Amino acid sequence: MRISIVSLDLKRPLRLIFPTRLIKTKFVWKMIGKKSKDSDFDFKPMYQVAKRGYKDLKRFIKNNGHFNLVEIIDQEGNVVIIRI
Amino acid sequence: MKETFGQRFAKLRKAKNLRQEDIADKIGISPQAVSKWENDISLPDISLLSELSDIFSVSLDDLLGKESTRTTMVTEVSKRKNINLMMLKVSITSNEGDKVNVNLPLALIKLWIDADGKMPEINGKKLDGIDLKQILTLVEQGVIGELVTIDSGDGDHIVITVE
Repeated sequence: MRISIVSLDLKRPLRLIFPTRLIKTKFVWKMIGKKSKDSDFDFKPMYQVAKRGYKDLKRFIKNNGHFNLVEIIDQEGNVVIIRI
Repeated sequence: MKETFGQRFAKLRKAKNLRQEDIADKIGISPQAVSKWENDISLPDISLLSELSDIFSVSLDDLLGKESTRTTMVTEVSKRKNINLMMLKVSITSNEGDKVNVNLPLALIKLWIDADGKMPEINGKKLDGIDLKQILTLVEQGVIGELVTIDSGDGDHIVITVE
């Protein structure tokens, strides 16, 4: 997963790389559960969905190629793109 | 033959009666750079695309020549794509000029529905009134293209498309 940020406040575009496979790790969901403000948040079902979702996502990318999950362009011209 | 970026760019510029120098002045680059784009030698930086689309008064899709399924249509059974390889696109344009596009593979939407998930909040817009199950049923029946269009009271425009 690549996160690109183009902002007028930045001298050059900021590019971050986040390993997509982390979404299928229990550790990440446990962390999200701990940080969540929602006291009812149960990480287990989310982890199960993410694990299956990662498999489907891989199949999708194999067939269709990588794609932009989120594109945000604000009125001032700042751009954020999350590409998977 | 498919129109190149340079050809499309030159066409849009001429339609607006602008010279290469005018574009260069507006976005603070050299006229040579614009010339290179039109001759397909190089492409504009991603940070300039939004500004260019505003200058030409076209969407980013139109500027980049992306053919999208804008109308709603029912596809024949023999021509239907595998639903797991299709994409749900949510496009939000706020009244303040912010644009948010979210592209989600339908395979993930199906999983989300199975887990009793609802349409998430995007850019502060509550979309939980949109029935994902109904959208999926329509797609399974071969309906593709623009499935939901919302013009909210505060001037936001939301479009949900399946391609």
